Amino acid sequence: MTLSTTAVTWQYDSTPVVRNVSINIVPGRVTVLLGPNGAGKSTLLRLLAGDLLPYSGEVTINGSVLQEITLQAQAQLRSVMMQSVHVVFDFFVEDILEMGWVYAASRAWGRPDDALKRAALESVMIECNIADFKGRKFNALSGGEQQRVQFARALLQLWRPENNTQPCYLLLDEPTSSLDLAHSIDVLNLARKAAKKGAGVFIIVHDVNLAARFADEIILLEAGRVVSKGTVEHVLTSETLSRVYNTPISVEYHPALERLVVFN
Amino acid sequence: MLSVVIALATGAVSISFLAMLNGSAISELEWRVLSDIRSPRIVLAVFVGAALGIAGAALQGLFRNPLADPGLVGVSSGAALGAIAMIVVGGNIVTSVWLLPYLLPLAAISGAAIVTLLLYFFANRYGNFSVVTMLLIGIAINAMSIVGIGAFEYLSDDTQLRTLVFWMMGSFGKATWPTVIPILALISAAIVALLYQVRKLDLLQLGEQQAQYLGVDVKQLKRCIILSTAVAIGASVALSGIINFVGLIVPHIVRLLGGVNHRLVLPGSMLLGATLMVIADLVSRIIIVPAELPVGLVTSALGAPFFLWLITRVRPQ
Repeated sequence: MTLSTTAVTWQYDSTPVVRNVSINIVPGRVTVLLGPNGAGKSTLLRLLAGDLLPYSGEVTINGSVLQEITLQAQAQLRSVMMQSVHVVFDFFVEDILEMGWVYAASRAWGRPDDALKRAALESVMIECNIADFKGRKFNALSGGEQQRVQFARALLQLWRPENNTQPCYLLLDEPTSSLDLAHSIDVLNLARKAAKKGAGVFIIVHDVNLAARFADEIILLEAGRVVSKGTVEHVLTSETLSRVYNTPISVEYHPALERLVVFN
Repeated sequence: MLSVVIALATGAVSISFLAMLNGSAISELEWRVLSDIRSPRIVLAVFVGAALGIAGAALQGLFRNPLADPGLVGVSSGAALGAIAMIVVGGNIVTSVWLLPYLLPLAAISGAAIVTLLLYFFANRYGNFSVVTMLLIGIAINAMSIVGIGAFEYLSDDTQLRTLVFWMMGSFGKATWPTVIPILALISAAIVALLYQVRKLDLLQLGEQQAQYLGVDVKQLKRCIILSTAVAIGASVALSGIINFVGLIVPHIVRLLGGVNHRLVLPGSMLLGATLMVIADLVSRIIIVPAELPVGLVTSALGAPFFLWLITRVRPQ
């Protein structure tokens, strides 16, 4: 039971963007995707999300080919947080959050799971520390605050009753791009927590140190190809990073932090 | 809030009835006026108002653009072009009086659908186009329709021309039961179809990709909204001509009153659109008694200043 790509290729016009990529996102683990700008990270995420269809190879989720299951079913198996969301109309923060509620069939009016929904909404707001935003307009929030709301929405989308043990996946495209360090760590801790509860978490980040701190597994992408994948210690070496980012990078073990730190 | 709007809607209708009833006791003639002239007219105003209100709200949601209005972006004039082509050309070919009430809306709906598709093509081609681009495209489409309409006016004979000119300004004066009934059926169907899309329209506000991640079949949603709004607008235009600004003002007022969720904006715009239209029609009938003003002039007189105010508020991103 994984979210996997098998020899997936995708091209824009005739330029290959993702080349022959085979990766597994395993439930209960945090997989971090690293790579320089233009390496095809977001494209790979969109392929995993089913928004782009592979030119060759296939994407499978819990054993079924992704595009063979309905969009509704996909929405209940994986949630996606995009880099930025621009909303025109003046929605309240709660409205935006509520859009992540896909549990049970979405009907226009009078849903029977209203009480359940409200409880889930409350708890996700508290968990993500955004309860203060209640009653505020989404567009009145700062970029970082909006990002935290979008993250909470993505978490809410994966809400399911206790007895549902089918693995689900959380795909995050640079969830910390507008966040200060403290909030970045908060969000990534919450992502870890989701993984502990059984979700397969897939995160694109740029900060190699954040990757070193939060990843169970790192995938390093360069020009659409996977150049290295595995544990933090395996992927994050001075030699590999210096070559891929084309700049001298040092990686050292920090004895007090008990993890690798990266600097240049 | 909804109930207030409903009350207002029924209020407007009963006012017009009261005015009738106070004037004189119900004679045979009065009864005929009420049942054969007044009633179909008011019923048509209610449905056209509802159709324009909800279609405006749905188009604004679909294009994620608060200035989308069936009139401004050219959907109404596309429908008008279709209908005029049918009146001028089709009128000479189709002689059956019974067929025309059905062919006219069909032609108008086709015109509206073509324009909406065209708009969507542009929107897809150039990403999410801005408020300004949308209005410029509307100007271009309106200009093209005016060329077509002008050509058909040139081709038409004198009686046809009189009909066309009055009809272009929008009026409910031509309402009779046999012509109104097919329109009502079409508008009702479109409204029901649109009301089923409220949740999906909300999700679409996060962007097409994100909506898809949340389980919305975006292509199907677009098809449904384009078709339904085309039917609603086409059917309205076919009988009552171009009535501008209702689809623009009404959703804005509803949003100001009750928030931006489409679950509220769509039915709210439908009810408020109906209310506004009945009142506008009432005004158009009594303001220069015994003659009457085209109702399109009344809504434009109200809507144009509102539109200016709106432009100053909605800054292009």
